[in-house]
Amino acid sequence: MELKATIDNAVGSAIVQIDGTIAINVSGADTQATANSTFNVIGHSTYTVSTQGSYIDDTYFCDLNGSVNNDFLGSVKIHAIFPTGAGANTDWTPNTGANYAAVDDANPDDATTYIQSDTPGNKDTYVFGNLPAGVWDVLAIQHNIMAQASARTIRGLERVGGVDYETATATPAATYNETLIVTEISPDTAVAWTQAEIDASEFGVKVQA
Amino acid sequence: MTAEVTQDVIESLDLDANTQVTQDTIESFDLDLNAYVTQYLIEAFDIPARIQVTQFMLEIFSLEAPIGRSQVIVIG
Repeated sequence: MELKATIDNAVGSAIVQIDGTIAINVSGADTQATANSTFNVIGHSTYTVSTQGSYIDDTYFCDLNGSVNNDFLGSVKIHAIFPTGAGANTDWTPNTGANYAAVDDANPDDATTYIQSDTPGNKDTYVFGNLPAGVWDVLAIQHNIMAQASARTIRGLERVGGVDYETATATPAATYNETLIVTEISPDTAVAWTQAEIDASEFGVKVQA
Repeated sequence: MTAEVTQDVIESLDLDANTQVTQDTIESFDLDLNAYVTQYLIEAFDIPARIQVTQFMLEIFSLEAPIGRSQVIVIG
C-alpha cells in the first residue's frame, strides 16, 4: 500500500495505491488541519484486542529532494546487511576485539562493544556479505549508524572500486541514537546502485570534524 | 543565559559529572546553546570530543517484483 499526499488548505490531494492500483483518489480538498503544511507523525491503526499488535515492514518515505525517488516506487523490499569483516580502513579504536566485530550486532549493545575516535579524518570501513538472491533494482542505501558524540560530526563512507566516497555530514546525538544517512545513487557512477556494485563495496564511517 | 551565568550555575551544582548526569543537567537548564556556550559546558564537565559507534548496518531499498507482475517498474 502506498500513499502520496499534498497538504494544502484548498488544493490538497491524496492518492492511495494498493499493489499498484489506485484505490483512493482525492483532489481539490482541504487536507491541512493546522497552520502547518507539513506532517510529523504517521499512524498505523488496526482493529485488535489490547494484547495484540501488528508488524509493518518495508516502509519508505519520499520527499522532493534529488532527481530520483520522488513518486510512487512500487513494491519495495528493504534488506538489512551487517559487517562481516574488516575493510581497508581501521583508524577507529574498538573497546574490544576487531573493529567490525564491535559494530556488527543485529541488536545494538551500546557500551558493551563499540568503536570510538576523537580524530577528524579517521576512517573505518567494513566488508559486508552479499545481498540475497532476488534483489533487482536498487533504489537507495541507508546507513544506520547507532552513535553518540560530543563536539564531533560524522560521515558515512562508501568505498567503491577502492575509492572512499563520503556522504553528507551528520551530527549524532549525545547519547546512543540512530543516525540515518541515505544515498540514492552510486557516488562512482552517478546512477542507481547495482547489486554487484554493493556486493563489491565497503561501507563505514569517518570522523568529519 | 550568558556564558558567565552558565559558569556560575555549573560551579554551584558541584556535580559528580558522569556523562549521563551531564546530559540530563544540560537539558534541564534549557539553555540557548550557542557554540561558545556548548564548548564552555563541555570543558566544564570534562567531556572529551569524540564519537562512539556501537552498531553499523546498511538497509538496501530495492524493488521487489510481486507474483504475477512485471519486474520493471518506472520510477517517477
